[in-house]
Amino acid sequence: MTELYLKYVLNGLTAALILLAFFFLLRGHLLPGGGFVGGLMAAAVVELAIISQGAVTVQRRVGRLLLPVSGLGLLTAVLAIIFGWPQSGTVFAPVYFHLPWLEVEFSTALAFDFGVFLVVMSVTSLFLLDLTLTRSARLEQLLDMEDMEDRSVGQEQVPPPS
Amino acid sequence: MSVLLLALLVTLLLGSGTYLILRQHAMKLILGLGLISHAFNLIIFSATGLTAGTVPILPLPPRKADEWPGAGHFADPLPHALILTAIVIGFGVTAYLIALVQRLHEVRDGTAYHEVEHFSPGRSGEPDDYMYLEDTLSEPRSAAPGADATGATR
Amino acid sequence: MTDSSNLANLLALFAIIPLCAAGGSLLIPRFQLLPRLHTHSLAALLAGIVNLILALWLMARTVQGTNLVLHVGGHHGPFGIVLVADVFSALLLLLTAVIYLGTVPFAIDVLDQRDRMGFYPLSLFLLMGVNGTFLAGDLFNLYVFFEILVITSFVLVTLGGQRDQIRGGLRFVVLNLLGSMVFLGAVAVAYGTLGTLNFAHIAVLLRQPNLPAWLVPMMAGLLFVAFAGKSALFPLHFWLPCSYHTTHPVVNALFGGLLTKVGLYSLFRLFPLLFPEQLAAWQPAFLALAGASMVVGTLGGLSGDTLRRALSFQIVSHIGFIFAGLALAGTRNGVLAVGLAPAILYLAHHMVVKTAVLMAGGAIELELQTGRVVPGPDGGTGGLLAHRQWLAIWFFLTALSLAGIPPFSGFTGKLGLLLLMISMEQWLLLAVAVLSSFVTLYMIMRLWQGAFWGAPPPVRNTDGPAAAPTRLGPGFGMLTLTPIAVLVGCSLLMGVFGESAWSVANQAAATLTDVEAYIDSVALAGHLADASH
Repeated sequence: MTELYLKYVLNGLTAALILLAFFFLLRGHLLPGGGFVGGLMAAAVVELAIISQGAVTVQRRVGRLLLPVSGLGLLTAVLAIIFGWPQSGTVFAPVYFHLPWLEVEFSTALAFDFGVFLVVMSVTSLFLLDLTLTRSARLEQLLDMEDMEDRSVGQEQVPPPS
Repeated sequence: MSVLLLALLVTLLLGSGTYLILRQHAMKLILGLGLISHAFNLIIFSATGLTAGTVPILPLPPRKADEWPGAGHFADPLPHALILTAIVIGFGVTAYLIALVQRLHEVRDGTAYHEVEHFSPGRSGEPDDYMYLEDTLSEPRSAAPGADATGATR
Repeated sequence: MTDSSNLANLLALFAIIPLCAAGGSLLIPRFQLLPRLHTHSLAALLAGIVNLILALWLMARTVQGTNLVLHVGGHHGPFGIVLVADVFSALLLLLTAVIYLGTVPFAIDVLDQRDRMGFYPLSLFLLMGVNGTFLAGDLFNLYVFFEILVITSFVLVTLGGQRDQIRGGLRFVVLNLLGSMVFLGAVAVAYGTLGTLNFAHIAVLLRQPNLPAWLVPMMAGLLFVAFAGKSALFPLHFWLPCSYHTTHPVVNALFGGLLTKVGLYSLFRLFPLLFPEQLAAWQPAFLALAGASMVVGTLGGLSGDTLRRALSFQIVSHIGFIFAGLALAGTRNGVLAVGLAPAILYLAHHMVVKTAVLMAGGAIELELQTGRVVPGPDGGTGGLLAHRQWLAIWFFLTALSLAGIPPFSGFTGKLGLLLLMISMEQWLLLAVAVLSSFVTLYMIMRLWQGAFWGAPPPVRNTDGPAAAPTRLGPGFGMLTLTPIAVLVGCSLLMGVFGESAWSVANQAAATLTDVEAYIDSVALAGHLADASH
């Protein structure tokens, strides 16, 4: 399922949408916007790739990364939550850094938003991929993920502990 | 006046949502739940009264305090935050339900829902009776659910 | 006494630790550390242990009469998010920690490859939702944590992806979602009329003299419907028997211990705090619902033909018992702490014992690949006594505790509830309660007989060798038996040291009924609390 026109505009559109997603993320620091909107926009990039290149290709390229990225996002957000604890005596307190070599202000609130961004992007992409993948492709993915297991299916033959 | 319109809209959404849920069809169930969740979002939206106001965000660059608009000038931001959270939760649940219905289809005949050429009636003219949900309380096919899930997929 | 110092920040850890462990297990690919242990289960185990230590600390701290209040981010209520922990919250957090830590070894023991896929991260999210619900200090965070818990449970219900699981799961999702919608309606009414969502602030504002007459009944009614649905009280219980028995046994044990209790917790927290008059005014209806739950749950359990179906349906009857305590506590003169205490004790007993018995029942089903106590065309259970003496003993002991035989915890809780019914002169309810206890005893003995007594079932899979008819499924070992034994030990301790358990339950009930202390402890931003007096 590949679309001819989409293929041509894909590269440009992908770059533009990713930039837009990061614009939304950074704008959320002081104005409407933020990690959630940016994450959805980034998931739209993945959806665009699914439509233009097919779900299987996208699955091969980024499918394995999506769950770890959502975990990374969660950990980033949690780290941002507890970062201000020693300094201000309470969790969820933002800490601001004025980076001397940069004109931009950085805060743990932005890091929290970035965590949200990663979670929303990866989870939404996972859902979109899951809906478009065929059953066989999904099973392949499942088998990929459970390759390093201890108990084989032949467990039934183990004699009972007496 | 607009409150009345909103009330009528909520009634309409709730009514049609309930009707769709009671049809006992998986797809209509999802649509009905979507309508009902939107109805409740509108209820929250109208809870604080419909007053005109601007976005509750101070303009950039920061002006002096005496140039700020008065407190009554802003719309109450809390219902918006509540609705946003509720929408996100509703979005997640709807996504999950869609995935669930797709699995229902796969468990039945091994193809994903969107792979079927015509949605209804199903492939090769079969009725989409698997989408009807009345036989849940019937006997399970396998006696120990979960125990043989491995076998089913290998 | 209130402590909102730096230590109160530890309350946030109840949500942060499961979140960290879940995030870590999503981030780090799963690999084997020991023959039975991989990174995911290790993360769940560690998070469970830390959670238990935290809960023990919180219990020790709150039992001295200190409420811990966290104003998240330093913003005071009613504007900021508030997490409140009193004895009742701490008690439930402790029970949750024990139950969670009990189910993790069971999961390590019996989950097979495919089911294991998402269980540990999901169960950690479930733990986070349950913890957060017990700590939430305002309606909307209660809703959010509820949703975390409920959405996670949606996925856990269908773990394994079988047809019956999906169909049962759809029911589960739809009814829980509708309950959440009603809850959201209550939030809208509260914010629209009172302009606040903080529990303490709502309690203060509801004392105003010129409120519209419909406000309190409407809020109380909406919240009651929402929470009764979540806690599987009689007319709204039907999602439970159509989904619980289809889940994986591990999930079933976790749900049986935690899921419906969250709804009960919310009823216990909100009704004495916000609507004590409604509790008295609606007492006849509440008592009828409680009695009906007892009857329906007991009869449903009796009619269940498989172990887990019977045991799951029987939860509804226990919900009826616990709710009867809350309903009886409401009087014209305010909510009686004496009434709530036995219900809280019974709640603690129920959480511990139900998890243990569902774990034992699930182990039997996994061992025999069927839970049919009444032999049917596809075989049945029986004859396990020869192979599984220890499981038989533990199942027997949990059965005794479930039916309320001394010296187990079921006895003290049930005795307190029955005495309460006598003192309130609710003779009909008393008769129903006593009768349903006896029927429960009969039911559980029947299950025990069906599973352990008698001849081994006939060989079911005809193509395999007929050498070991009772060993059809993957086995289980000490990792399953030890948590069951520990939970039974907890029940025994709660029964033997009944006096201490009573005093904790009494204290928890006292914190629930002491509205002033709760409002003071939350320490609303000054002028708001004063303006409404």
